[in-house]
Amino acid sequence: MSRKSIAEKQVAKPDPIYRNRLVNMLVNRILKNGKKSLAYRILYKAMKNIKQKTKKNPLFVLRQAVRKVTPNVTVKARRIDGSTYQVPLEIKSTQGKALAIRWLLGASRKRSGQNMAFKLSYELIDAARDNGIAIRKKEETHKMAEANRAFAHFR
Amino acid sequence: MGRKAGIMRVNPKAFAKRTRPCLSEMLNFLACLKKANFNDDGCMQEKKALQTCMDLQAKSGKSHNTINYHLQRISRMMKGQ
Repeated sequence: MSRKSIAEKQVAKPDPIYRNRLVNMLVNRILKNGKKSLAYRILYKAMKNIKQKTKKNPLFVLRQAVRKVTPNVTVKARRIDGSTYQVPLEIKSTQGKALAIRWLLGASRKRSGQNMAFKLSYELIDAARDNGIAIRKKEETHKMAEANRAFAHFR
Repeated sequence: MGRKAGIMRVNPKAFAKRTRPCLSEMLNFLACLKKANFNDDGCMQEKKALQTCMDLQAKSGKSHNTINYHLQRISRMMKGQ
C-alpha cells in the first residue's frame, strides 16, 4: 500500500463461457508465461473431461471439489518464551478458497497423465469424492491444528 | 524520532488486548473433527458456525484506538490556557 492513496479493490471478473468467478480464478492460477489462451484451453478441456467421466455438471463437480479441499483451520509457528509452538488459527473464507485452488493445482501437476487437462480433471473428480493428494493435504492441516489444540490460547 | 519533545502520546499497542473472537468456535470444530476421525461431513454445524464467525469479523473490521487523538486535543487545550 502506498503512503498517499489506498489501492482500489480489484473486482473479480467472471469467466467468459461459464460466467463463473471461481472458474476464472482457477484459470488465472493455471496461467504461465502470459499464455492466457493456453490456460483457458486447459481448463475447458478439463471441464469437458469431467462431464464425460462423471455425467454431471462440471461446475458442480468443481465447486464441490473446492469446497471439500478448503481448510478451515491451520497452524502458524509462534515463538513464545524461547520455544516455537504451532498455534492453531482460523482461516478466512477467501484465503481458504485460494489455498484450496493452490493445492488442487499443485496436486494435479504432480500427477501422471497425458496432459494438464486430464491431470486436472482427474484431480477434481477425486477431490469431489474425497480422494487424492489435495484432500490429504487438507486433512493433514486439520490434523496438525487438532494436535496442537492446547496452544490455541496463545496469541 | 521525528516528533517534538513535549507532546503527550502513548503507544496504543501497549493497551490493546489481543482477543481471539472465534476461539470457542474453533475449539468446538477441532473437538468435533477428533470425534469424527477427521471426516468433514460429520461436522457441518461446527464448520458453519466457524465460517459465520469469521465472516462477521471480516465485516466489522478493526476498531482503531483513539487515545492519541484525545491526548493531542487535551495538550492543545492545556497550551491554550
